[in-house]
This record gives sequence, C-alpha cells and structure tokens, in this order.
Amino acid sequence: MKTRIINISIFLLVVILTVIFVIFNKIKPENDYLSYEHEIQEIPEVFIKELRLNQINETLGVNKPILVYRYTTDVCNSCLHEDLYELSKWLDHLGKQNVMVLPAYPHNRDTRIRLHNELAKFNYKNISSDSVVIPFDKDGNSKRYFALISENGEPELIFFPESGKTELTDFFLKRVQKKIKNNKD
Amino acid sequence: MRNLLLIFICIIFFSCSTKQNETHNTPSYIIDIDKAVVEEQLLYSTVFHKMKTIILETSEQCLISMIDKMEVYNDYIIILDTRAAKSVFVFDKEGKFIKKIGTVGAGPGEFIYPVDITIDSKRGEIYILDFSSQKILRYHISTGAYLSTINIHRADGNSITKICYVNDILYTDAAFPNQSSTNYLMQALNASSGEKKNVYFTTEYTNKGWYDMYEINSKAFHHTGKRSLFNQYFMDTVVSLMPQVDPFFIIQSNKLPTQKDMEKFASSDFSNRHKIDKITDLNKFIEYKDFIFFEYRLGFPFKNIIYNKKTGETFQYKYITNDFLFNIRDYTIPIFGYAASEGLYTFYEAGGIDRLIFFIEEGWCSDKLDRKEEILNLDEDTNPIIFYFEYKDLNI
Repeated sequence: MKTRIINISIFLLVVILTVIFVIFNKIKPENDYLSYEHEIQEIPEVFIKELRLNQINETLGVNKPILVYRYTTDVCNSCLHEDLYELSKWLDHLGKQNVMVLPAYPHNRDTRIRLHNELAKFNYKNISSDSVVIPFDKDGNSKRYFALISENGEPELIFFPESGKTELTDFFLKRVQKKIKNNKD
Repeated sequence: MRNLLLIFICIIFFSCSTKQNETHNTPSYIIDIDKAVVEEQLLYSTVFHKMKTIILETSEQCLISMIDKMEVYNDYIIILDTRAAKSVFVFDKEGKFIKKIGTVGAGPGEFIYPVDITIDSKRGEIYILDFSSQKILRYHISTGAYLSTINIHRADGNSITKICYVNDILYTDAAFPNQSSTNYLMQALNASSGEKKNVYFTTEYTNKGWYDMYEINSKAFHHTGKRSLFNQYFMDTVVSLMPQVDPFFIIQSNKLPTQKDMEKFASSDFSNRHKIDKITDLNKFIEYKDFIFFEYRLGFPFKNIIYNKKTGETFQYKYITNDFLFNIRDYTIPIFGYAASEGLYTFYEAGGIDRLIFFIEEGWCSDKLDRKEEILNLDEDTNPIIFYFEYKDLNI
C-alpha cells in the first residue's frame, strides 16, 4: 500500500513537472517578445530621427505606408535568406506593393545579377547608405532592419532581426500586417 | 540464454573492434613527370578538327557573372554561377537561354549558396549542392521541376563542397573542422537517402606524413570525357570512380611535396603555398583515345602533361597554342569548361571578352574564328562566350 502511494506520488509529480515545463515553453516566446518590445524602446533616438529625416517614402516615391527591409553587404548569407524567407512567407498577406527591399550594394554588373536572382520575389531598390540610414553596432558592423514607414515618412515600427530567431521576425511581420490593415480601415 | 548473451557480446565486441583497412587496387598507370619528353608546341589543330563559337544569350533573366562549373547533357549546356547569380542556367548548344533551375531562397526547393552541380544523365536529373544548408536538391533537367531534397548525414562534423553522381551514388568531398586520424577525403552517399555508404582516403590511407592537411581543390571531381575522377590539391594519386573507386594513375617526380614541405606549409601562411616549387593541384583532365591530358601546378605556373596509355610515353609542351582562335602564341587560351567524349568546351568570361575584341581588332585572331562580327558588337553586359572544339583522330 505504502509503495503504491509513493508510486502514485512520483507519477503525479512527473505529470505536474511536465505540465509546468510545457506551459513555461509556451509562454517563452511571449517573454522573448517582451524583451523585444524592451529593445524597441532602446533603439537610439538618433537612428529614428535620421530615419525620419530620410523620408523613405519620398525617396521611393510612394505616398502610403511601406515596410522596408534594409541591409548591406555586411549581412551574413544565411541571415539574409532567413529574413527574406520570413518576409516571403508574409508577402501575400502584407501585399507585395507594400514591401520594399532596400539593399545597399555597390552599383555594378555583379550586383545587378545578384539582386535580380536573390530578390526576384520582391520589389527592391539598390540605394546607397547615404540615402537611407543604416545603423551600426558597437563593433562597427552595419545592422539590418525592418521598418514600417507611415505615409508621412514617420517610422512606426522598427525591428532588428536576429539570426536563428525567426519566430520574432514572424511576430513582427504579423504586427506589421495588423498595422497596415488598421491603417486601411 | 547464457549462450545467446555470449553471442550478443561477441557481435558487439567484433563490430566495435574490427578495423577495416582501406585497400585499393594498384593504379593502372604510373606517370613519371621527370621523364617527360619536352616538346616545343602543341597546336589545337593537332587534336581538334573544328571549332564552334557559342555566344550565350544575354538578357536580364540569364545574366551570368562567372562560370563556376559547366556540365553538358544532351543538347543542353548547364552553367552554375555560384557567386553573383547563385543560379543554375540552362542554354541550348546554340547559346539560347532555355531556363533557370531552382531559385535562390530558404524555402522548399530553394537554395542559398549553390556551390556544385552534378548530372544523372540516365534519369535526366541534376543535383545542386547548397553549401549553406548542406543539402542536395534534385531537379528534373528538361522540366526544371524540383523533385526532392537530400539531407546529408553529418555525424562526423564534416561539410561538403563538391558532389559527383555516378551510378546511383553521390560522391562528395569532406572538409573537417579539425585534424584527426579518422578524417577522410571522400565519401559515398546513397543518392536517394543521403545515407553514408562508404568513406575513402582516410588520413591513415593517404597519410604521407601530413595528417589530413589538404586544400579543397577548386574542382575535386573531374570528367575526362570517359570517366569521373577524384583528386585533391596535394594528392599524387588520381582516382577513378568508375566502375569502382580505385587509383587511376599516380604521378612520380622529385618535385612532389615531401613531409618537410608539408610541415612548412602547415607552419606558414597557407596562401603562400604557390611560392613553394612543388607539384600540386592536378586538374583539367581530358581522356581521348589512348591519351590522358592534365595540368599541374609547379609553384605558381601550370604545366601540362600528355600521357600515352598504350606506349607509356609522357610528353610535356612548352606552349599550347589555340590556332583556331589566334594567329599568335597567346597565353590566355579560353578557360577549361567541360571535357565531353566528343570534344572540349572552353569559355571566355564576360570580363575577358573585351580582350578578345582587342585581339580581333588587332588582327591577331585566326580566320577559323567564326562569328567575329557578332563578337565585335558585344558590349560589357554580355554573357560569357563558349568555344567548343571537336576532336579529330588523335595522332600526336
């Protein structure tokens, strides 16, 4: 009888621990998202100001909200394709016309070939880093980013994707979709 | 029960302790480079009877930066551009663009960094190796349809950069992050499942005193027109993959790297390896009738060898002159592209065409060069030009 009680107790303990583990893992992305929200507040004001000054929508000749994805040659190949893959998954929901990929590559034949093949699914424009700001990290490496720019050229949402954290990119793009939809309504 | 347990233990013991020593047949040919008869000049017209100029179509859809690999299958010329386009382009033998196979991306059937291609000519399929994901994607050549992805089993921590399809087996090179006696140079994978079937040229087998130090060749696998071969930068043995993996020929010379040289390589900047006056980097293999042609690097410059399989004679030529293209002895003969059974495909990169135009304008090009006027009208945007040379009865 005593052994049976011990066995049942162990079984219950295992079940409870499993449930706690599952719940913890489920809420983890939310926690990550919160930290991402926190990061948003830490985006240097100077970068937002510069982004605002750039008037991306004017540079691109659009008068509607537009999501831009900006990167330079510094970006690692797999990071870039991770981002582009996430973006391509959301392209239909966001509307291809509402998304613009903005690489900052040297203007030559090789770049033309590369972008034509790499960004075949997207609207894109190769513009130098003088036209649309690119922030740098502490080590001097440029940081790729997504920014939703309002029709007034105001940066509404900014997100710095991280390698291997595609769920955050996915979460961000979901928010962008909601925002674009709300703006329409 | 006790007997069963004993048998089980024995099976476990022997499966763990049995060490398979790698053995291969002796090479079919031994080529002594030091005994080569040095001749002055070999003319292309001695080997080939005609040349055809193939100007690859140029359009936004098929712009090529560099030809990193060329394959020829039936009426198709298949080109891999690894760096800029990261694409596989299919042209016909007149240079007309047919299609692209696969696209750049991270989705199903897409690749990020295609570094090699290989053809299953029996099924009309192409395998594309994506270095970033270490996956091999399979497509139908005629339709361009994506068929499947082969996940490479990478239990050994190695990564692969080159592939070669032979009879339902995908041979790959193997690059290891660390030196180890268990490392190997080549492996055979099941072409459907990616499961490892065998490994070849382990450090123990190939060890000539330099552990597993070797450089990944720009082309580990080669087609001679008759067979597929494997060779890496420091290997003195050229391996045939058909009908089975066995040494095809071995080179002999006093200029082969010694253990001391390799220690020097290991302790110095590896990029200075060309400064050492040693034989490395066997490449550009061609087989036609009784002859084997290949090049090797002696320090920096390339030297050539022609070996007669029947007589065992070895020749070396001071100059190889492309008299189909030039009236002069030019050192910039087109780049080696693909050795087919009936001829040789070579090419001029897009960036080299202005030099060819200069040669035509100076009157340095041969009358045998066809489509001169069209070449003169090409601009800086143009795609590479392919020159195909068809063999004649060889009698050197």
